[in-house]
Amino acid sequence: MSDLHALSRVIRAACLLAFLLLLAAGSVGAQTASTLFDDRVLHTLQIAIHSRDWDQLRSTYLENDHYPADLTWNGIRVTNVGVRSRGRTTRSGVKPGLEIDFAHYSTGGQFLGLQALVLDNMLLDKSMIRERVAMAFLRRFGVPAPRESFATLFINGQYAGLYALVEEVDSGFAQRALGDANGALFEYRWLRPYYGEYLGDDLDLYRPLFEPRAREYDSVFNLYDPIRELFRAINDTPAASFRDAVGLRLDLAAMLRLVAADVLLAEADGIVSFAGMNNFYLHRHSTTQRHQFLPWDKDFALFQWNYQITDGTSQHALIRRALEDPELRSLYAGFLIEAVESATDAGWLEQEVQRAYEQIREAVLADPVKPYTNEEFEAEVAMVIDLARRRPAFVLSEVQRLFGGR
Amino acid sequence: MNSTNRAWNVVCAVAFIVTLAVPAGVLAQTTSEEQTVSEEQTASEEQTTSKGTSTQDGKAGVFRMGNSPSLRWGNQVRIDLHARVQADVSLQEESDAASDRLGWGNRRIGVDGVLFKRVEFQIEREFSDVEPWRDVFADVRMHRALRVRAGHFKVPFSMERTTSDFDLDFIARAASVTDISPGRETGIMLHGRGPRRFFEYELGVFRLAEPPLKPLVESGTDGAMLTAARFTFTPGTASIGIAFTGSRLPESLHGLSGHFDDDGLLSSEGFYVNGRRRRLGVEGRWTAGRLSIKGELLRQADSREGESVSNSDLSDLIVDGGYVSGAWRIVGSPRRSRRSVDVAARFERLGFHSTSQFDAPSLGSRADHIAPLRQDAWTFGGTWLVNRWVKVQVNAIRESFVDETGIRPEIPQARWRSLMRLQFSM
Repeated sequence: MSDLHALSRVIRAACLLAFLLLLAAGSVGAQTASTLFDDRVLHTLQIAIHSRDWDQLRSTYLENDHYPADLTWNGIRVTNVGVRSRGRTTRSGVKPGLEIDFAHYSTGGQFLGLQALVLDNMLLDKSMIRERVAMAFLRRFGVPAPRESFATLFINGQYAGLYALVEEVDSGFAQRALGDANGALFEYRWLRPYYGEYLGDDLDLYRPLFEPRAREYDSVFNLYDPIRELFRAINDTPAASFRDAVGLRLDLAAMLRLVAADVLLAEADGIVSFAGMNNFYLHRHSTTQRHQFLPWDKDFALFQWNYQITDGTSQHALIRRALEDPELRSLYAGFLIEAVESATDAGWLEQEVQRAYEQIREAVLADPVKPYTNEEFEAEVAMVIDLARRRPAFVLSEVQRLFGGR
Repeated sequence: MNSTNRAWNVVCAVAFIVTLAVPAGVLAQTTSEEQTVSEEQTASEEQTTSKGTSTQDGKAGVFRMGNSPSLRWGNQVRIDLHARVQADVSLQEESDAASDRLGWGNRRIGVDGVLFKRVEFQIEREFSDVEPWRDVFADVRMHRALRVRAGHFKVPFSMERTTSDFDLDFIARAASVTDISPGRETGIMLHGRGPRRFFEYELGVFRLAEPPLKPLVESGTDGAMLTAARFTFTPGTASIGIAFTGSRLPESLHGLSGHFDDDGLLSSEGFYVNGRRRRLGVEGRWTAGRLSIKGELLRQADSREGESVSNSDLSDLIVDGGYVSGAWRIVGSPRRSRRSVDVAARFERLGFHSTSQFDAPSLGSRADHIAPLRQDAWTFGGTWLVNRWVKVQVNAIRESFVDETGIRPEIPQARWRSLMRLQFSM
């Protein structure tokens, strides 16, 4: 009998142990990309990189050379990731922007389903909150946009500053946000002010502007003929058939929604910028062959509360012609009002800016490599908070003035 | 060249001159049983001397024309002149221009000989801008069990590597032999053999002309030293051997390109190494009538001290491989023959991996577990020794790559290659 009791105790103990192990495994397994991009949390990222490689990366920060490293987040260590310096105007040898490539040293390599992760050094944004808050608003407003969160970065145990973790726009992003991992994807390269005019028949005129990020091995014709035809349609289609002809090649509603959100955010460097089109990806759906603009790099958003909502639109071939179509114009006005409502709903924009500031303040003040002073940081945040309070009302008044209400 | 390099070369040059200048009277103190290989060769060649040449043993200025032109002063001095030319033709790329399919193998000229029965020497130069001087050494026999060689010559490692290009069963050596075994270096070597060659040994110290790999940082310090040892046992018609080398290895990037990636598809793969390079080779050969079988297993281990992402040590980077080959003489005497036809086949393997296999395999240059890759190759060939000077070889080679992890984006496709070599050797 006592043997039976002993056996029963052993079985109960084994069951309890199995349950605890299951819980532990569940907590590890619950780590997803959504957890990584949870913007309610200030994350901590550890990178172990050979000291000479780190010195080399910083001294050659204008190059795209990859260096092997181990990445640790939330107790998960990923070995042999590729790290490189990144950015265009934000490259730095002091506080380098970084791209973590999980597949660089192993085809198919990924972390939480991500092939790559961007560590934005936010060099041009003294408040350090514009990029993260702007992307949060875009997603809230229904625009497919990268997920972002803040993280303190430690390189070989040393604090290396505050970074924004940015979801890379790649085929994985396209699958998550658009349900289409097989489409063509291009990163727009700003080379000169380009306002969406038709450049001509030669496909080589479009290649430098649109750098393929998926289906890179497709033929030049397959990649660029649809882009050439899109801009031909934008510029050459008669007004009466503009909406139908361009609508076959471009998701016009999605485009107008993105532009409206950018207007609310006072984004001066988006697809309607002060110097032509900038900071976007162009996705072409694998079945419908329609294109869609995807936002990128919002460090110039939220920069002036009274930034005119029509700035740049008259020169921009696509926006100008779209707004000449009454139906599209009405749709756009509706999106603008919807954006205002979204920003002011329960004071979302102001609260989001305030929350982001409180979340990162200590980390920013301790950031030893940020290229501005703590006083400049505080002053810039105050300006953004002020913008968050005043911008929606300004946009609404402008919409009513220019569009006459909904 | 730094001062130590120069000093080392001076030492070797002095050694070379001293060995040449050793008084014949001292060296001539031999016993009848201590016949050198050179003497055996001399006797053999005397049998093949052409009729009509002037021969007058024991007197100076005698010219002979055997396999090659030879000068002799009695039995004290023999100097032979050699010239060797190889032309290679790629057979399968018929669409290419003939000039693209034709290439030169080795083109060499040299002298070798024996002085005062005790000193052998060899000087050979390649018609090439890259390492033109091949063998430049003197070899002094104190006793059959103790000889000293000084100069520039092959490091004693690998049976096939130490076999002359002109005596191989195939046009090219096995990839593992070419890749893993060291080539010629400047150094001093003790070597000798026991009775009836049952046992032979070679122990050498070499100064590497340049580091085994390009250092990441040019330190300006001395080049690496390499120590080598090789022991061979020959019981009857079989022979087995084992060899080792060891040397310092500067911090370098060790890439797959240059090992077995002629197409450069794997050129992006590079792995940091630092510390020591150790080689181990095992060899065997067996001959029975017209059949000969031989094989080798070779392994090179490079340490990776302080090369992890956290500056700690990584597991050794291993390059290993080997081959087994068989040759059958279908025409000609089973032993040395002026005219013969042989057919041969070889299977070989060359691989690349790390000793650690704990974490996920990777191509990262600081990965502890390097994703393994290997190349397998079959070679089928025929060798026609037309006469004592001319040899024709034809080889068909099938190479394939194996990436067991499948994490490389692209590996070369399996392919056939065929080559023909025309060789003149005098």
